[in-house]
Amino acid sequence: MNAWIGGFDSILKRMLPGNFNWFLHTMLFYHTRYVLEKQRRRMNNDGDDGDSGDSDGGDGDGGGNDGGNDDD
Amino acid sequence: MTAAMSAEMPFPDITFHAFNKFIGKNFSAEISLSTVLLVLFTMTENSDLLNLHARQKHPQCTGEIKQLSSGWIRALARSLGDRLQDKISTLLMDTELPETPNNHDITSSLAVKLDKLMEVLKLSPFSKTGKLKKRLGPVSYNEIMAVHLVCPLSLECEDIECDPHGLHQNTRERDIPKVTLIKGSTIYKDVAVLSGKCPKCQTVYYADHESLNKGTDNAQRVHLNSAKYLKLGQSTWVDRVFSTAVVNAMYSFHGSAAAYTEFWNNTYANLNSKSSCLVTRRIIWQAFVQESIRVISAASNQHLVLKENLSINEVTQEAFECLGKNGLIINPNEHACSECAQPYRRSQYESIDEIEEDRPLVKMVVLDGIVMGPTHCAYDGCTSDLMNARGGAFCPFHETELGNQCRVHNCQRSKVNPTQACDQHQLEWKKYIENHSQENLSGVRRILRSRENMPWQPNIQQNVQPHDEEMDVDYQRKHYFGPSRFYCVETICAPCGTVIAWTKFDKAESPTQILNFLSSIYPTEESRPGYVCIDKACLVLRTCIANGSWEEWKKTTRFIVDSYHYTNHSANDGICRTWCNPAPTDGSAPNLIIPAVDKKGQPCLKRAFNTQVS
Repeated sequence: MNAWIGGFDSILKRMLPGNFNWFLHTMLFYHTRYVLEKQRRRMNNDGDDGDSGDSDGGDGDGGGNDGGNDDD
Repeated sequence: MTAAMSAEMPFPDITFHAFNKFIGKNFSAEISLSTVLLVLFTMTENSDLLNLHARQKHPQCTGEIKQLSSGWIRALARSLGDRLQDKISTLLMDTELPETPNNHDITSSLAVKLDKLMEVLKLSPFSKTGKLKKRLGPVSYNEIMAVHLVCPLSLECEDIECDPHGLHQNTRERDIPKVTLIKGSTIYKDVAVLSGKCPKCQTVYYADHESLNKGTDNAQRVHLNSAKYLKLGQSTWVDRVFSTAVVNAMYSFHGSAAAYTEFWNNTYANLNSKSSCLVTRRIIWQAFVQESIRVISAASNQHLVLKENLSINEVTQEAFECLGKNGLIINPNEHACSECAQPYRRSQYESIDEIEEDRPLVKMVVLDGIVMGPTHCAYDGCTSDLMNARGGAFCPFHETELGNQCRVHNCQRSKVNPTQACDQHQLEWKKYIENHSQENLSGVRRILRSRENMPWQPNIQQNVQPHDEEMDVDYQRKHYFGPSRFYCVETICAPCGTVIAWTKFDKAESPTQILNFLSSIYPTEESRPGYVCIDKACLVLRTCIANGSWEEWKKTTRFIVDSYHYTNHSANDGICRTWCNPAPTDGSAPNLIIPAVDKKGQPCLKRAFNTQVS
């Protein structure tokens, strides 16, 4: 998961503290929501034919893959 | 795409009388409006198929046979039949209904009707004499695009202290703004925006918010979680599909607002030449903030109420204060999935059958940090926001306190304008400016990005602390030319990946800060997890013992090192080996290892929790 958060570094490092807090909080909130949703889906399907299961949230593509300059 | 757009045809230009006459003559009197519209739009949507059918209907080469009911139009009739199921009978006159229901006959007679409808709608590429006029292009729906208005969702006043009065239309006719509305990827121009007003309590209702006490000093804005449309700019509104896409794109692609702006403008801005719209980065950032505010406040069952007329930066700051709960994402006691909580075991060999259902659960959380953080005031011990985020080094208080003083530590002389140092410290200032110049920084950034450091390039010392050694947090800055940064972001995760809380650490990931963070998230004994997994657990344990808080923690919790870092910890460290082992096989921590069966069917022991989640 750290690698996943690290992917936001290029966006976060140019942000004001207020925006940094809110952006990171939102991303972690969405992450948690999706993890819990996936657990619920898995429980409903009882693991029979669910999805391919390769996207466990922390997909580890930690590279800063964008050059955006969000200086808001 | 441009070629396809240029070949668009106008919507069939026939009178309603002619269309109505055809429907009355060919379809049952019982046919519903939805079925008629379905047939009409099925025809206009499949212009390519009509091209193919019309070509077979008008033979051009020798040996070709004229086919009034080609395979193409029959396929269309069959698909329509599949869609309509039992309602298909309304597409036939009573006299045409076969005695025994027969799909083949129904498809044949429907195909003939669709062919006739093609002629009535003037959707044939051939003239009456059988000459090809022009092949059909996609039919444009611009002319039949519905008129959109953005108006409040509430139908009556919802103020608890007021009666449920009907809302009056509040915007004067000459003041009604005409805005651009983006619904999904479709752009609508000149959409009127209306507001409503309660005649009694004077609350003004908009599509995305309510204004309380308007015109007074205590004017407040309630951000409505159920808003259908969001206002993002002076004349730009979007629907929730658009704003959800912005947040999800940032989440999934690590995209910045600037990157998403470019993507959207390249993909959707010019889809329709008649109503194109370029979005700006500010609009995308606004979409992110407005959407995330609503989703997060809806999760905590409240509406965000802020002062009116706040800037977007103030909105995010206030939103974090109201909804951020100091970084707490979910209540730690709310979550206990099978990956994060195991029933208490007395011995590591206790089998599942021996465990009663009412055993208490043993939970584990993983605590880890990542080196990143925003800037803050450079003054020792102050972590307030900067007064000037572009070039400033202090918060408003310390900016005023130091005033005209030289920014070198402990220097009392006045600084020489326009520099930040006195005449004696000009050399330090020059060096700082040189190191932080655009050219130098872009070079450094390029090196950091490529992660390669050639022998001739400067050796950049990154301040990454070894995780199992004591660190010095009391280092002093030599000067205050630039702002300081928070050292790292620390997260508490459950082994399944759920984030419980996060915070920022200044200067270092010190055991004291870790312990303070843990106590703030787990204030009571009952709320504490059985195991806290930290890469520097042995250091935290030592500090905990030294400062006396171990007396409290030892009742409920053990600090363990995660399995990856444990291999690098000193084998001679008694405390670490005895107390922080993530999987001791000597039976000292039966809840950390559970019996399992390996690939060959042999019984073995495995770790009960995933310690590598972060």
